Amino acid sequence: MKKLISVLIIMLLALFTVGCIEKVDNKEVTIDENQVESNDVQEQVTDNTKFVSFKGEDMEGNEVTEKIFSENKLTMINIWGTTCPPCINEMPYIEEINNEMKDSGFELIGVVAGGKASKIDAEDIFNKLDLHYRNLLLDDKYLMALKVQYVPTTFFVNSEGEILGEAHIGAISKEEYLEIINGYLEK
Amino acid sequence: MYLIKLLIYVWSVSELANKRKIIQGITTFVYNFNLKGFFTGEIYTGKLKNACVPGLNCYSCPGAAGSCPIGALQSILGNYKYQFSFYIFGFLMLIGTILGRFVCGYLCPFGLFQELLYKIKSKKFKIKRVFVYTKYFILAIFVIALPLFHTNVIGLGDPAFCKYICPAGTIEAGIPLVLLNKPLQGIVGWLFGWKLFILIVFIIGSVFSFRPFCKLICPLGAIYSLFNKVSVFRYAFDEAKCINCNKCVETCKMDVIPHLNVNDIECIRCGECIEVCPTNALTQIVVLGDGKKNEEIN
Amino acid sequence: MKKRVALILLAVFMMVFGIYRGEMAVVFNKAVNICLECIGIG
Repeated sequence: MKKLISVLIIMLLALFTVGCIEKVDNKEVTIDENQVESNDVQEQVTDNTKFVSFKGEDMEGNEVTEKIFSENKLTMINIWGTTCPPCINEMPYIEEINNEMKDSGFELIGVVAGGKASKIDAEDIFNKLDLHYRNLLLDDKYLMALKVQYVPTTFFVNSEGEILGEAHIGAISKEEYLEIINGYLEK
Repeated sequence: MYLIKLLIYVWSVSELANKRKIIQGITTFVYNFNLKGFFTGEIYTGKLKNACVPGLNCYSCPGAAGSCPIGALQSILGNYKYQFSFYIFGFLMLIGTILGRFVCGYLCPFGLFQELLYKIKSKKFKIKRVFVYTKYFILAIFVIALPLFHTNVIGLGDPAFCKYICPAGTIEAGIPLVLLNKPLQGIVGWLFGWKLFILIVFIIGSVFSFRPFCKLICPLGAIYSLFNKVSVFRYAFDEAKCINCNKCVETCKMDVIPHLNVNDIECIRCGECIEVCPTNALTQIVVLGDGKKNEEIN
Repeated sequence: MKKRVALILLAVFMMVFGIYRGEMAVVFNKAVNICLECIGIG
């Protein structure tokens, strides 16, 4: 019996030590130009905080930065996960929203959690659902800087790259999205 | 290191039953050593989450350092690319073959939680043996069938056990996340209320009955129980030494009859029957190949 | 008995095969991106 106990203790202590080493990797990354300090205690992303500066790719491999916000009056950033059913369930109707609203200076842009590692699955899903809105592959460090932990999370960003209102966590209905979008476009 | 010296000291002065509690406590701490998460409200996202811990510990718990095997199983079965999980079933088979339900008795935080609640003084009730089979039903339907077959438009299945039932998830992940993250407080809905209700039922139940979740619901316990008959670490009964005093039957809180079936599916290896047997007819042994290595409880 | 050793070896083989075909990556993805509905909030 003593042997079993000591073996178990050694295993557990070993795990613990490995875990401490692992923790060093998990330190949050501070990104230079962006104004959201990721080492701060949990803050809500509030009115007129700038969306983090980023560099990533779209699904075709073109480089994309925060300059895309200047292309539209209002950009809806929808962060989703390839294994998240609620995220996927809302994607067909946010595609509809994009089609209906894009002539009003609005654009929906998806960001898939996991970045490049999720590219194949993201493409697969976009094909299966016949989606055509832009989708970006960003490194997870940008999501951490935005304090995004849950999917789906949706941000509304103006043409100056400022986040309007609060991050929307969880999926909401098409009507609720349209209400919010129209509300921001009127301003 | 000071910590090791302290552990060794505490170890040498405790009785066997307390030794088990100590291991359960250490286990809970090790599974959740991302203590920082409880202050920031953020979960650990490091590479260790590629691996599962052997016991039930929600991977959305801010402190969790590894993945939950039942959560992982549902996520793979629910994924449209897979109909079976070699990784998780292999892992469960590995742990089951070596430890069987020792995991339940030593390496599960939610088991520890229920046992601590049971210590509260009250009238105690037993659960009829026939009901222990509901956990196999829960395993079959909520962990396996629903994720496989209840799928959305692209074939992603619902992790039904995590979503609708698991109280370990509610107390380790649901409640801490909601308490620590203001944005979440605005979006809790009926599902959270339902899971809170289930958690409360099991908290109250655990005071009046020993480990009701483990007996009735736990799909992980259901899987490991299938390995009790073949596990490397197991119990043995020597008929020749038995004097039919039935002390083991009186002691067993899982309603097992040790002198009849010492590797019963319900035995979580707490070791109390072994402690209480006056003639050492019950022992813990280690069996690997053909040879038997006897290890007696001291 | 020998069947224990066989079971352990089979288990290890299954785990390796599962990792090879990408199952571990799915577990990781699900474990670090919280889907609130999946854990019962909402």
